[in-house]
Amino acid sequence: MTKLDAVKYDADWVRAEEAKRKWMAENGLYTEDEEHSSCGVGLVVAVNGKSSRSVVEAGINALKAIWHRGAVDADGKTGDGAGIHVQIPAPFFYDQIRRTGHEPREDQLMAVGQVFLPRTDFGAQETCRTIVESEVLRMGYYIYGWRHVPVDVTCLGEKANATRPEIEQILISNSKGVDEETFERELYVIRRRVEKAAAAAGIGGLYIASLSCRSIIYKGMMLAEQVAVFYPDLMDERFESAFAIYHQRYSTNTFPQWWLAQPFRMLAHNGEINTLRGNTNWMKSHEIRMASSTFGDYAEDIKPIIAGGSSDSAALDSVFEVLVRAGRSAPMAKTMLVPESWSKQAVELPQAWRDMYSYCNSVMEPWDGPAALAMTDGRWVCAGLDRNGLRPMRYVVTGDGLVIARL
Amino acid sequence: MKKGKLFHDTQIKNKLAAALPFGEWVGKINDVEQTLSTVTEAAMFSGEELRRRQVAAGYTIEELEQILSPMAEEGKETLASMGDDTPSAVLSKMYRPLSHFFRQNFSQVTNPPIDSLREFRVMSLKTRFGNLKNVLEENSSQTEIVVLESPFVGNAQWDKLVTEFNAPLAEIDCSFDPAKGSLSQALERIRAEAEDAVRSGAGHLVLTDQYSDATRVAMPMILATSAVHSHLTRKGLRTFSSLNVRSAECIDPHYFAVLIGCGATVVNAYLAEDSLADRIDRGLLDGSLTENVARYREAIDQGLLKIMAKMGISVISSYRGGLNFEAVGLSRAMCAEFFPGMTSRISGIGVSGIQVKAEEIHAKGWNAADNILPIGGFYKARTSGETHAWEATSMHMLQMACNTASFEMWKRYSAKMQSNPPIHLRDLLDIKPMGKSVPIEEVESITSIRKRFVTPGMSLGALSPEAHKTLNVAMNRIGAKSDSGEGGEDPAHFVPEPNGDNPSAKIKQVASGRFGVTAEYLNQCEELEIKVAQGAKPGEGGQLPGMKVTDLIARLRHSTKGVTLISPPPHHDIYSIEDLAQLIYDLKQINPRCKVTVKLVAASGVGTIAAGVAKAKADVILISGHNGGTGASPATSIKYAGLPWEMGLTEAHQVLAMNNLRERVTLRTDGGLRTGRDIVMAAMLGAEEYGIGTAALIAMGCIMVRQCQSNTCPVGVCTQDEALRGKFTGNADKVVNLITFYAQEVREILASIGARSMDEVIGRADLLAQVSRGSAHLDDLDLNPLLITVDGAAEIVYNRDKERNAVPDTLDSEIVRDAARFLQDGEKMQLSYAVQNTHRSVGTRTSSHIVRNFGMRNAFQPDHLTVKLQGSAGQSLGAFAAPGLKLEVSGDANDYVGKGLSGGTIVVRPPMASPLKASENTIVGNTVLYGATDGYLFAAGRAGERFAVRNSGASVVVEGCGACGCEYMTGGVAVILGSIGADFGAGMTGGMAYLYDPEGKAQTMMNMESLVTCPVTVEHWNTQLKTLIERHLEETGSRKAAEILQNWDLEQGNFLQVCPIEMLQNLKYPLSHEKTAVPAE
Repeated sequence: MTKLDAVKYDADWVRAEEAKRKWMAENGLYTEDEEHSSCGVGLVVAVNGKSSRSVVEAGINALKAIWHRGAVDADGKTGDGAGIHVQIPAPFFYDQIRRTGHEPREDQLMAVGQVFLPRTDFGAQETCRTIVESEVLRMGYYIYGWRHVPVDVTCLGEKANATRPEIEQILISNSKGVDEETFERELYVIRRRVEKAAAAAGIGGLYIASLSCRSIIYKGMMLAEQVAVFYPDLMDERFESAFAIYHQRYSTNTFPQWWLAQPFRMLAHNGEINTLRGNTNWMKSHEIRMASSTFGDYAEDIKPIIAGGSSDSAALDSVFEVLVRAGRSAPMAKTMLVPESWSKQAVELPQAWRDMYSYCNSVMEPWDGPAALAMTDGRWVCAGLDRNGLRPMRYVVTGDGLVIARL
Repeated sequence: MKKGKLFHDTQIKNKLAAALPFGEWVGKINDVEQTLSTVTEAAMFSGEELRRRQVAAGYTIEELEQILSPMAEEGKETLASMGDDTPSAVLSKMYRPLSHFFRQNFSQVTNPPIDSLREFRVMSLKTRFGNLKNVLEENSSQTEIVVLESPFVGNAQWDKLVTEFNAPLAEIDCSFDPAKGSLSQALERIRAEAEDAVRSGAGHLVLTDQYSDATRVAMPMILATSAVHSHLTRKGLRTFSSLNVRSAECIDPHYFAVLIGCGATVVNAYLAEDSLADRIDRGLLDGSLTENVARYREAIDQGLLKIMAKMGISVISSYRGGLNFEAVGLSRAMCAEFFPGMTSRISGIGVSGIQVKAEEIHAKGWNAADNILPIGGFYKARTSGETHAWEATSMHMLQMACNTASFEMWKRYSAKMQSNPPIHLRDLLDIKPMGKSVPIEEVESITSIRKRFVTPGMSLGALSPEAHKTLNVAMNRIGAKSDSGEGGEDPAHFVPEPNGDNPSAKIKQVASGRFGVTAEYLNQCEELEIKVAQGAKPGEGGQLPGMKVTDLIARLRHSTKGVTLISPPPHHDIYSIEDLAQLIYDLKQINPRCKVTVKLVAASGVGTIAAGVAKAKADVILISGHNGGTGASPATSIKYAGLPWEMGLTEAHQVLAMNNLRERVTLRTDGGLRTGRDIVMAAMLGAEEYGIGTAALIAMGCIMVRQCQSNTCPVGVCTQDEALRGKFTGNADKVVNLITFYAQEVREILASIGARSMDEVIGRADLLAQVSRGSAHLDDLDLNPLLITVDGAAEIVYNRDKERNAVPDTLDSEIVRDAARFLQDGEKMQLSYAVQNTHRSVGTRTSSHIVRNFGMRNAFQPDHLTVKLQGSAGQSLGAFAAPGLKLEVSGDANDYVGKGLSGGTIVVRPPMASPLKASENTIVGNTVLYGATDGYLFAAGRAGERFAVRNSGASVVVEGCGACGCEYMTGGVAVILGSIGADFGAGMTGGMAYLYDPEGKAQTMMNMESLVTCPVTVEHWNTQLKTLIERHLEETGSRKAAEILQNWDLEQGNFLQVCPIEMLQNLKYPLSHEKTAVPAE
């Protein structure tokens, strides 16, 4: 691979590579829509719902064991993306807030946003911060400040490093004192507004990996076993959680794109949604009525529910998130989107189930294709398979009360 | 989690199902299936008017006789063979319905297609009508809808259906008078009418072309449907109304699929039904119209399921409106407007062109004096019909050339091929010189060029043994490669012939059926080819009917003579790309030297898949065009799935180059390479090696009778019939001549353009120029996307002789080192290791050494080399394990245990200290014993899904299994001491299974289509069962086995014996002493 060595992986390389892909998509037979990815995914959850260090550690260790489900680029270090989704460890972040000189308002809920910003273009970076801050303030919440997330870049491949964003956390307090559900829903609206504002300003490098008062996502273009090396936060003894959803991606693409790493905000998905185009079209019609009833005045902010250019997993995540934000529980949202095949089973399903699935069939088109899903709405953590059970998934309940599922 | 509680599947569903009054709500659903099944069908048009309408809708006698009638008679789609050699729709001079421009999507590698026949339980065509309400509400208004079991509606059913609708209906006339306005304006009109109707409260729209007449031309209903669907979607109105289509042009499942993919809720093919009525009146069809329409509906339903299944979609409500097609030759502007989201990379016919064509065919029907139905010629060559590349003269010239070794004749043949009207995209291209021509002596030799040729995978089963061997011998003589195809190879081929010829194929194929794939087979080759899809029917499985399974084939495929063999649509160990990487890893373990090829079919997105395949460490990627194929396939699969190789190859080359992966792999292509010019063009588009299938068959005597599917090949090429095989006139010399001619012509072309070697022109798409833009009515047939070069592509070094891409070692590197005495001298040994789930394919490389040193039929004890492992074994434990090797795991094992097991023994049991109840916990993962041919597996615990899928010889005892157990099994014995999952034994045609079923529940979980069951009463079977359970106890110490054996006299009555119906006549011992237990066939 002598030729590769000659390539210098820097911002120029990134720009050239992006330009090449764009040109190819316009002039050649390459279509970005055709990029595929699949993965290893799984979850660890404490049955008693208590957060602990051991859950996070089990998640990190599980990531190390699924390395072979991912692919490695020519430089031997750039992975196709990996990540972990955990609860927000309040004590850890309270300490971070203290370090900024604030005293955490422990009587108010705290939210943390994991934000990818443009790294080399400082002007754009500052614009992005401004966009995020103004949307948070506009919704009436208090901002403690930004935290630069410590990272160890030595474990990154050169290509991954070249495309690495600036990773920061925004720390927010529920100064309005709304209930947790409303806080989550408004954080969701904030995120959608930020995304739209960034798009309107023509800034591509802004991406919010998570913005929630319940959980946070650490992800990036590293090998699965390096997630905790890259993010030393995860190794901190104060970093505790009651669940961990982890994901390792294997993509056909070789150009590292950080935001494509999973888990997404609610779910991690291994597989492929074959009916994406149909589902996306139908959502365009559904969303008109869906948005207005739940989000009222904010309806326009969250549309389109599925952003243009979303991957199948990202699109499913978006719809899943809307259903949950509108009050459906994670298991019900899963049942609506990815129901079992119910109409022709050899063993008759209980009538109540058949009725439920028949109802689902009346209101929603299934998202069909092989899938293993690990998801959370902050209250429920679930894992599920597609209607055909095509993806392998296994789970164990350990003696000390952890459920570990590998999909 | 908040509640601190773990809910299992059942609990959650119970909780959810009880939360809301779903039962009451769904009571409001109006299921009209029953009502519609009672109506008597009636024709709309007949006589003179019918014929005018038939001609105006482009019907031909061929279409009626070969496509429509068989569906009404058999309830199934017609089979055809020998691929497609007609022009791409956009290049044709004839009228081609718009559906011909649509290519079906299919899945390969990144997700599995589904078997719509055997796994019908997951599939659904349930169609709902009406105003769909807010998804987020939870009340009964959401269920006030009408549902139907299929989107097919007959004429009389239609009239009945509209009376059931619970909302106003609006009919929109989809015909136009060209004297008063263009098609484009008419499309505007129907869009406006549709929007207006929905806004005024219509819950159902009807689009119909039935009002076309002498002045009004029918719109292509595909265009009309998509125009309205996309318009309503853009306006956010689509869910407020159903969209029902009546189309004259619609006959075959493909047309139905395109309409539904464009958004149609139901389709009424009224003119097809009228044509059936007409044939019944004329005595050409038996039975009533109602019966015929019912069978026609069945055929369409099956066809739709197959089309959905091939891309892995199982429910039609998610397929509807998804435009899961790729257009070839539709104007990009028109696609953006009327088919938003559908890929169309080669532009072509637009709305105005379509109008020209529609008016032309309309005039033929309504204005001509003699409106006789044309004869057709789309499926088989006819003089007055569509162009076919292979017709009598060209075939004769090719055979003459090969028979008489006449290059002169070949040149005439080649000139004849080039004088055909354009058939392929490449026919619009020409080769530009690189520089001044060079003397031919300076160009790479014929011998060297010939090595780049391959005869692609055609199985023994499709081909006669004579034809199969001839190809191998010929290709080996010239240092080129032949491909065994699926179905194994006679071990007799592994030693040279008396005259020195080598009859063994250099490339061995590994296909989804895994027939004959043993450790020995995998070690007798230079290259292993994983066939992910095949050009004739990508995304579909295959079936070798019992009549073609001769003694020889049964022996090679480890099955039983006369018993049907099924190849599943997906490889059950490849559901996504990392699974493929695992299979490549397995193959590189079992064969330490061979390269691994992955065969893909051209489709949009094949480039990114190729990039993933390259990252999975494949060495060669084969891009097959859609048009090849000896195999019998449904006619619409041959015609409408997959792309020409030009597009697939180019995309793969471009995307690999863009990702700096091009050097890692060799690119090969096939699918209608007929002349030296085709080869040079393929080279310029990026291919380094070239597959010659159909031409090689013709050289051996094939005359394209296109009846490979019926075992009646008159020239003995594609038949297993003894008498017909006697007529085989092919020989190796003819094939050698063929390849030599190709090479010679290539050499001449290279000399003429100033190139001295093949390598100089590979990937040089810049040396091609478009010289024709097709017919005048086309918008712009632009082939430029094929011709671009990627930045940096000039530096790519093409080296076909490089080492294979290395894979990391596994535990076997230690085992092989420690077992040196066994592997050298055959000394009995026992080794012990700790194992982790990152140790994959344990025992595989060791097995390679065993078969290479001692062969498959060695004299070892089953436990001659015992490897004891403690811990969690990774994927593919004991893959292709050979006789003499025994793996004992104390712990558990991941997916693919005993994949391709070839005589070895595998034991998996829980660690002694485990507190878990073994029989209730999963100990081995999914897809255990896939393609196993021999050996034993004892696992003291449950197995996952698809246990023993395609097992053809291994004996196994487990304590329960997940869904789809023993699917497609053709041999071996499976004993299951616990509960089974759904769909047990689907497509099982051989072997025997015993289920421990004290509660009598097993029967309900089985797919009984091909099976019989009975208690175990006959001594022979009882002994077989008991012996295996005893051995299970001995190997694993299973508590469950101990309990059963303790009360054997009582417990043996709790076993259910499962036997495939087709095996009954082949059993040495009866299943029962009483006659009644065996159903009459």
